[in-house]
Parts: sequence; structure tokens; C-alpha cells
Amino acid sequence: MPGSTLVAVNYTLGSEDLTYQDIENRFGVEAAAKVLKGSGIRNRRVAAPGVCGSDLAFQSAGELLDKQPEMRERIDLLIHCTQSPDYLLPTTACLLQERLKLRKECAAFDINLGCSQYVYALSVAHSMLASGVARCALVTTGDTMTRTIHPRDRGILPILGDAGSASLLVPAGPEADAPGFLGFELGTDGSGAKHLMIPASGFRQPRSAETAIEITDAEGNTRSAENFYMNGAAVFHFAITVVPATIHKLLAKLGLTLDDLDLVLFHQANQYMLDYLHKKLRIPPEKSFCYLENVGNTSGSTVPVVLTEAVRQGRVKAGGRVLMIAFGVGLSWGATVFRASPELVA
Amino acid sequence: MSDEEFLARFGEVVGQDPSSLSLATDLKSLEDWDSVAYLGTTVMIDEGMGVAISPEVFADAVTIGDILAAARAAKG
Repeated sequence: MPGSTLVAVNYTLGSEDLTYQDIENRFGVEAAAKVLKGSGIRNRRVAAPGVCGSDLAFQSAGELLDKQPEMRERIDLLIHCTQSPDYLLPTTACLLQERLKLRKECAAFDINLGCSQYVYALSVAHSMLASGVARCALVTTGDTMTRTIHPRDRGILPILGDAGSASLLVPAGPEADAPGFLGFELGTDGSGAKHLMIPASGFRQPRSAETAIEITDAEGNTRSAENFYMNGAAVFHFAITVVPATIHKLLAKLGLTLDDLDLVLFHQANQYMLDYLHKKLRIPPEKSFCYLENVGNTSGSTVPVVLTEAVRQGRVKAGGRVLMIAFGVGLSWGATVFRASPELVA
Repeated sequence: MSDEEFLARFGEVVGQDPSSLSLATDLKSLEDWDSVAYLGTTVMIDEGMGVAISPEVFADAVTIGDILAAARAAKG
């Protein structure tokens, strides 16, 4: 059975700057320096007022399809990944199908996951292409998570940014060494759901006067139950345990070692974490690539963003093996290895 | 990891001269004992002892010695 291959990627950042100076002005010199030391994030890009995650996805997909107009008619699967949809209903992917002028014989649905969303969506698109259900897939991501952060939360506000992305997948060739996805490893630990959460954001805990009450913690972070919450220590612990184990498990399943990889791309959570993961896994600089210092952690879009940048900067070679791993909200994680196609790096 | 080695590495994490620290030092007395230090301590223990300590340890620990004890217990 043929698999699938990635033939194009693109991304769009929020158009507004939230600079180091802005953080210094808001939280003070010491706090800004501490954020930079702890996260490696100096500046971030956030969506302009009124811009939704789907707009960032739409722009990414539009630019990509303008370069390959023949693909627009071929797309028969659209998977949009978001945790900040335009509406609770209808599904954002359906709105994107119309905006992108895709054919009506196109399956369209959302995947509601956080930072792991891109790898999950790739795995679903891959499966549908491999089984023949679809012939050409567009995977988009788009979130404006910065809108969910309390403006006086000095722990999270300086970390996150907004972005969207678009990726095109087609069936892989029949050759054993054809470019394409070699395998996936997915996982979930719902016991850690509370560590990355907006408590009053759905039907379980409806918004009320009570959920709007603001609380300031011992480190001076202010938020209410309606804001994004992250237990940084718990997420860090999760990452440094699950990420190495997942990579080793996927490589073992594929009969590969780290030496067989040409590039390893992590979810761009924070530089401190990435530096430690590179060190722990003994990934040399020539096989690593990061892109978050002036972008921020763009939640589910970090992997397509860092992949696109790696392609643009010549770090992905045709035929090269690339491992991508994403992890976060859920807690949820996913990893994949693919052999890069000539079209992707053209 | 010996007590002395732990204190030396912990001192680096919180930016304190290790000679000013002991296992009985109250964590709340350390100016830089915060969420960034939690990450540094987690890395220091993972690297030095090969164990990723549970984040609950930071909420429960009163002294530096409590963290070392938790790390040693996790290592088994």
C-alpha cells in the first residue's frame, strides 16, 4: 500500500510585534531578563485585533496554492487544526473549504489538539491517502492562543505567539525508498490535562461572574479561570521524560537510529527545554534546528513553522530523513519520520 | 550524588555561593527560587542522577534537603 508524502509547507505569523521592550515596560527589567533566560524568547508575533487563527491558515494556504494553482482542484481532504476556532460550530475547516474555493467533493474537519496537533493531522491525512480515501490533502493549523492569556500573566504572556500554516500531502510513490512518511508514534496522558488548560472554556465550567475572578499567584502572575493556565514545571517534566522515550520508540519501530536522521525538529516550546533535549538525546548542532527567538511558542503551529524555515534555510535535503515531534496540551504527543521529497525543498 | 555535590550544583541553579547553603536552608529564603529555578533544578537532577523528579516535589519541599531526599527516593 503506498503511503503519503509532504510536497509543500508554508506559514504565516501574526502581524503584530510584542517585543522584548514591551515585556520590559509591562513587567519590569528583571522579569523580562528572566523570561529571556528561561525561554530563549526575545520577541513574539501576535495576531492583530479581529484576526482569527483561520485567517492565518487561510493566508498560508492561499500563498501555497497561488504557487501551485493546479493543486486547488485536486484537494479532496482538508484537515484544520485549532484550539481557537472561529465558532464552536460550524467547523472551521468547512469555512476554510469555502474561502479557499476548494471543490465540494472534499472532506473537511477540524482536529482539536494543542501543540501536538500537526503531527496528529499528518498521521490522519497519511492514513486517508494511504488507504485511498483521499488523493490530495491540505493540512492547516491556526491559533490565536495569545488572546486567552491574561495581560498580567508574566509567566505565559511573554512565551506565546500566534501563527498559522498550510501543508500539502499527496500519495507517495510505490518505490521502497520513495519520499514520504516512514511512520508515526502517538500518545496521550489525560492525567496531566490540568497542567495546560483554560478551565472555563466550554460546557463543563460555563463562564460566570465567579470564573472571571482574578487571582494573583506567589510569583505575581494574574489570571482567572477564563485564561490559559500552564504549570511550567509539570510540562517540563512531561517533556523531558516523554520526548526522549517517544523518539527512541519510533526509531526502534522503524529500525533506525539517531545516526540515520538528517534533522530533528521539536515543538518549539522554549529554548531552555530544547537545549536540554538536544543534549540529553545527543543530537549534534548539524542535526538540530530551532526557530522561536523572535517568533515565540506558536502552540500547534511551531512544527510546521520550524519545518518551513528549515526548508527555506536549506537545512532539509531531498531524500533526507527528518524527525518531527510535537507535545503539549492533553497531555498529548506525536512523532513522525519522513523522507523529504524534491518538491518540498524545491 | 553526594550532599556536597548537590549543594554545589544547586548553588549554580539559584545563583548562590554553595558555601552559604546547607541541606537545611529554607527554599523560601532564596531570592531566585522560582519557576525558572524549578526547571534548572529538574535538569540538574536529571543530568546528575538520571531521574526526572515529579513537579509536586517543588510544591511540597521546604528545604534544599527535601528536594535531594525526593530525588534519591525517585531514583530508588
